[in-house]
Amino acid sequence: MSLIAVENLNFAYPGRPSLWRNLNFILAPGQRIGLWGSNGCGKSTLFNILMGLTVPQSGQIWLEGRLCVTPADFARQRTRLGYAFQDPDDQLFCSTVLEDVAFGPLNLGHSREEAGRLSSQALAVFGLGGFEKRITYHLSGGEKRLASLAAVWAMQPQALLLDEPHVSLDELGLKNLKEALRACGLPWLMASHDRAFLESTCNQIWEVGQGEINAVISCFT
Amino acid sequence: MLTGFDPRAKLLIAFLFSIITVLTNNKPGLGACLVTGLAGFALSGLTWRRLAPRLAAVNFFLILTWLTLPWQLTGGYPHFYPPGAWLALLITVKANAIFLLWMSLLAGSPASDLLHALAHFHLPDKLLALFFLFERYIYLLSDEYRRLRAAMDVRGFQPRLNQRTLRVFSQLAGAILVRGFDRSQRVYQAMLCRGFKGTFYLISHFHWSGRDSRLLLASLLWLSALLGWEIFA
Repeated sequence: MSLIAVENLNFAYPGRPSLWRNLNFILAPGQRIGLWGSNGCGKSTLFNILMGLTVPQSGQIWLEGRLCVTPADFARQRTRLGYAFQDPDDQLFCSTVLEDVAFGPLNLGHSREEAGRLSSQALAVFGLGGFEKRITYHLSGGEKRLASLAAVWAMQPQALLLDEPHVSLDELGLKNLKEALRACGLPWLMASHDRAFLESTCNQIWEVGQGEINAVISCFT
Repeated sequence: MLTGFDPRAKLLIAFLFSIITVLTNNKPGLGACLVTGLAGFALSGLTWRRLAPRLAAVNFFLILTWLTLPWQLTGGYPHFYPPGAWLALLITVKANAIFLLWMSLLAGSPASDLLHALAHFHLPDKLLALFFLFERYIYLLSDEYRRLRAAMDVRGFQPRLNQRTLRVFSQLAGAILVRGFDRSQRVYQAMLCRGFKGTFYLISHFHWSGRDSRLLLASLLWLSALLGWEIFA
């Protein structure tokens, strides 16, 4: 069964040419797909559509084999996907790191003990063990990025949607991020304009642009 | 010194004190309320330097009551009107007493602790969400402002008393509002993606200890004395 299936998707911002015409693709379990394209080619918009935050002009979205049309459909399915926003500051809004990472698990109905356990585990996977009591807005850029990834990982999603996860990271931050992504064990769609970063983390790269996604390159790392 | 206590005890005391102070109208009782506020300040470990600007902000608004209430217009000229002056005095003393005690009790608690304490009193989720996001957005807006101001400063902007400065500042205010709105949309969407349905669940809990009970008991005794004074005096 596919994790994400998109059929004949069309979207255009008001007064602008359409980003794609009849877009089709499938994300299968185990796939780590890099979406490569220039700025403004619609990578973030695609993620917003997949999460039901933006409504496309036409087309069908299937999440884990379920057709999602209404906001209620998306609300039920979207917690099964971990969407890490482009700017971690949009995502981290609680005072402490632990509270922020536990926000998702608590929303899913886990008990406090269980949410705490999942959060600590997530922080450990992303190399942030011992950061529980740190204040989120005092974290460095790289730490914020890892914390925002831990926050979506803690919800035990089936796949990740990663929007430019490497942006504004220094060398050490990049190294930590790559290690954490390798360790997290999930399939993903990762949007980026950085070909080299995609090649070093994903096992397939699709080019986004000119109205469709072309699977142009397959590389296995 | 007051920082180590359970925020729930402090919130309860501050809330009850405010109600009793508002109800008090006899002179010695009012004096006692003001003394309570001052005593709270003395015990809180707050410095005068930290308190003074905030106290000044509160009293700036109280100046308005002194400019209007104690004056009566007769024959086209304002005349001093003692009952109005008494009313202005009442408002000033009460506002300062309440403000002093709230500052002394709660200034040492982070906003997240206060939110948790409020959640323990089972206030409506919407109110809590409002308080929580308000606290968060104050930081976001001030961040946004500092970033924009820094970008203006490095391009050589110097505020002066002229039309251009006014225009630039109005554009700055507009940019902060628009960016703040955009960001609030994204923060809300990020919350939706993590399964937010309107309820905040709490992960950390407070531990009520013997000293919290003692603080609450002592405060309740003193507060009932203040209330009794007003009723029977």
